[in-house]
Amino acid sequence: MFTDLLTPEVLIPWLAAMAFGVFVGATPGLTATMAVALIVPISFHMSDPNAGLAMIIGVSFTAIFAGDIPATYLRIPGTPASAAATLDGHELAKQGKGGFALMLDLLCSCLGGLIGVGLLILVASPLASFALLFSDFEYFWLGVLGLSMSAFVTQGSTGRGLIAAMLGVLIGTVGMDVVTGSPRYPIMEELGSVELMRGFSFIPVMIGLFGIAEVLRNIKTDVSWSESSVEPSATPLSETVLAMWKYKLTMFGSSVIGTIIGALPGAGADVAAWGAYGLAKKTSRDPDKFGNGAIEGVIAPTSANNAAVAGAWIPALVFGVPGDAVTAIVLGAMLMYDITPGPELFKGDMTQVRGIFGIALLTQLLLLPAGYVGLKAFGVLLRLPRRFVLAGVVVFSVVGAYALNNSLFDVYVMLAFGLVGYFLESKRIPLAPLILGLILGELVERKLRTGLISSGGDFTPMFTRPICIGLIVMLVLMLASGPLLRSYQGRTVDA
Amino acid sequence: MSRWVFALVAWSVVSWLAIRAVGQESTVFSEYPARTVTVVCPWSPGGGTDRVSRFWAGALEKEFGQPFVVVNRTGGAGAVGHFSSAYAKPDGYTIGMITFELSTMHRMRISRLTFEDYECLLQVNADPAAIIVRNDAPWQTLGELLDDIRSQPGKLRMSGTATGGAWDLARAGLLQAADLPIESVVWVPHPGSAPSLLELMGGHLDVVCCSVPEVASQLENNQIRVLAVMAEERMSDYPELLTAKEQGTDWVAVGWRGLALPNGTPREIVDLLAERCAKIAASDDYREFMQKNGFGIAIRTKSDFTNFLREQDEQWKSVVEAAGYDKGLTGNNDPGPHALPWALLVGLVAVGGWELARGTRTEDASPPGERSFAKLTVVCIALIVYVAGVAWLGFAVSTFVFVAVTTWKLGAQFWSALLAASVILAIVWVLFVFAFQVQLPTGVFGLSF
Repeated sequence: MFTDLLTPEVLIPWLAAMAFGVFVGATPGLTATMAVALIVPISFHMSDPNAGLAMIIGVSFTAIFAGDIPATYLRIPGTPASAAATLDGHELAKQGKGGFALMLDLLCSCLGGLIGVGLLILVASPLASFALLFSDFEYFWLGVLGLSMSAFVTQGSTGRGLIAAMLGVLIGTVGMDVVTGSPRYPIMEELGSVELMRGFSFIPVMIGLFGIAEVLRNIKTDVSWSESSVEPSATPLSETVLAMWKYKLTMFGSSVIGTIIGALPGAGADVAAWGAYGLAKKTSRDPDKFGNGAIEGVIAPTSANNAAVAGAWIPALVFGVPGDAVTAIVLGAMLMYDITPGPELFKGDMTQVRGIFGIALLTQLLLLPAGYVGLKAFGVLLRLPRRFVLAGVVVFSVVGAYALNNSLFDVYVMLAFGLVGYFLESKRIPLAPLILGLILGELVERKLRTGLISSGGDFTPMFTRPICIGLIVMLVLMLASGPLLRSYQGRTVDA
Repeated sequence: MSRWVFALVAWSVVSWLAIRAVGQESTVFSEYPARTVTVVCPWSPGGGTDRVSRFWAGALEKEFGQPFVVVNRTGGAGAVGHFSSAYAKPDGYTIGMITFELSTMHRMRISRLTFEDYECLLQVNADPAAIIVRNDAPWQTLGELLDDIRSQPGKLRMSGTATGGAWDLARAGLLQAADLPIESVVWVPHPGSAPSLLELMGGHLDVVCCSVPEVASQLENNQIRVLAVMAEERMSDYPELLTAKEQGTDWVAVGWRGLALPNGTPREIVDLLAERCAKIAASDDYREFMQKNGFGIAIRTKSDFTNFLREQDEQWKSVVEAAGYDKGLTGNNDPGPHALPWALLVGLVAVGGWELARGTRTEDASPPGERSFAKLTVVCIALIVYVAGVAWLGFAVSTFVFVAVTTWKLGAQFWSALLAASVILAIVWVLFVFAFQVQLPTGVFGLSF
């Protein structure tokens, strides 16, 4: 399982990508999604597909961890999944124990990730056999479930989440009709736009939305990094291990909760972190300490967010329905590696699945050295002027979009979606549901239409097949709990 | 300020000239193929077309010493794959495997694509359609079968592929040639010849129409009989099988496969590939591969292939029209390609209207201050100029100027802005140009980097 992975051809790009993940994740204002978006085009140039996959998977986990570093030292979350770490982690840092909090983050992220991947391995195969029972209509509902969840769970108004999801699906309809294969908008053929007849490539759209748009947002907010900064402090290993042993149940429980929340379609690492934080606070013997530098308050969210990245893969690998934006991008990349997620992946010789699992497990272990270097080098990173970092992101966005197909059209698409993405975010329309809509739209449409063709235009099986009923019930329950979850999240932030 | 602008422009010009001088010396004239070539197969992995595609990719790889990779772009009755190869960048790095459906899909409104959207390279294969019945069936000849159909129209059930597929059209043409109405036989759509054959054995179908190699094992085991082959001449591998022509029905229908390039591919590349393909087609390896898989070899080179496709186009026009498929294959309970976009538009208007009506604030979460708004405008304009500049001036020049000017405008020291631009450019060079061999746009100056 691991022998293919432990070669220099795989390990070197893997570690390099993880270092890159630490860099982007630890840079305030740059998100884990951006880290993955920028690494994907580079990964396609690896001659060994394992190396490419390892790079993408490695980045997704490390960037989520690295977001805790600026959250702790600067009170600026590196990525939204680290927002919970600005509470107790930053308090500890103010008490001069920032290094200790971050060592906790690192070790708990690693263990949380291991538990998450462990659960993924346990659950995926049996779930895949179950998924074989799914026909067109079941997949249709599952896709709808993922889309509406992402719209409802998102921060901000539900209506805007829905608008984003629908826009994403609409953008995905440009190009070929998925069922008949004919060009969907004949106008594109009239205009002679060959590129638009083919539709937007996923990679440039994603780089635009999460690269350029974030650069623009950073320029707008114009925050100085150094104001709230706390000096990096020592990173005591033994103290960390002792603290973890003391709160092992919190860590374990948070990891499991994180995995479960991550596995819900539409909910990702940020929701998982808040969920675990809230749960740890509720079950703690000393809830008043939360917000004032509670060790449990550090352990819970950081274990949960890395576990959630693994959890999000359960629906992504088994059904092809990603749980959040990062997983959606990883899924889009897997398709380009000729890995088609779905129950069929778990039939046959399972080499691809085993490779993915192996990469995910080893990534957790590699996180320790990569993350430790990140901790130590954070001071240097802070001294790097932000405008140069942002200019670098722009240049890599352009090269990344171009290098995919050697196409300038893709660069234009990337830029256009960057501007559109910035505009949408300034109107508080979230981008995560949009990227999910782009990925899931095809599935939803294809399954609905082929389902109707084979049922002879009859809609009743859509509502009467047993699994369909189950999914509809889940949809209703989730939609009902979505606003609850959101208001809960809001309350915790105020606390 | 103006002094600085002048200095920056002067620096850019000097550094550009310097890079150009170095660049010209090291300009590498890339020999085709300089990188991986994609062979687009419009049908799924494991099928006949896929196997043929993979043989050709392997043979071309050996011939050129560069990787040729098969990519399966399936869907839409073959339209998706044909579409992606026809509209790929015509640089020789995408080769299409084209199949029979190209002659018919534009008649059935699946796509507008025709053979004229391609530079045809080489026809590699042709398999005639055949009429197949169970060994215990009452009909001994094609004539007996057709007489039976004539006397009891609409009774016999037939399959071999999906509605509108190659074998459906082949049998439709046969019926037409025999002066029988198309609907005198019921066509039951099945996903392919193998499931159809199972149904035939199980007695759920009376006749199957598909190619002979697809039923080779059943033929060997005497489970089936081939009543007619829709070819000009008898097949060399099966000389005992009679053609439809011999039995008085003048009709030929072959499923064919070939290699083609997108229109507009440079002539040298077309000629080079055509020459190498012809060489491979004449090889023993190819003969052996085709024989082993039971595919019929039919080689037509460039203009012969194009002429053949022109004839095919005409031949199938009347068949498609007679079968009524020219009115489109959608229909049949499919909401169609425009249902979803319309539903989304309605949804967007509804939700957007609701959001507005609720009166939630639409202004920015944190509106930019005047200073950052000015910055934002500058950066947006710089981005657009940069991307436009990549196409015009080339990647290196445009990137250098963009990074230097924007970081400088955002408050960096002049020299550190230049340093940053050089460092970023160097990283891109090492990673993408040196390590990954990406050819970045060279622009009007032809600067390779």
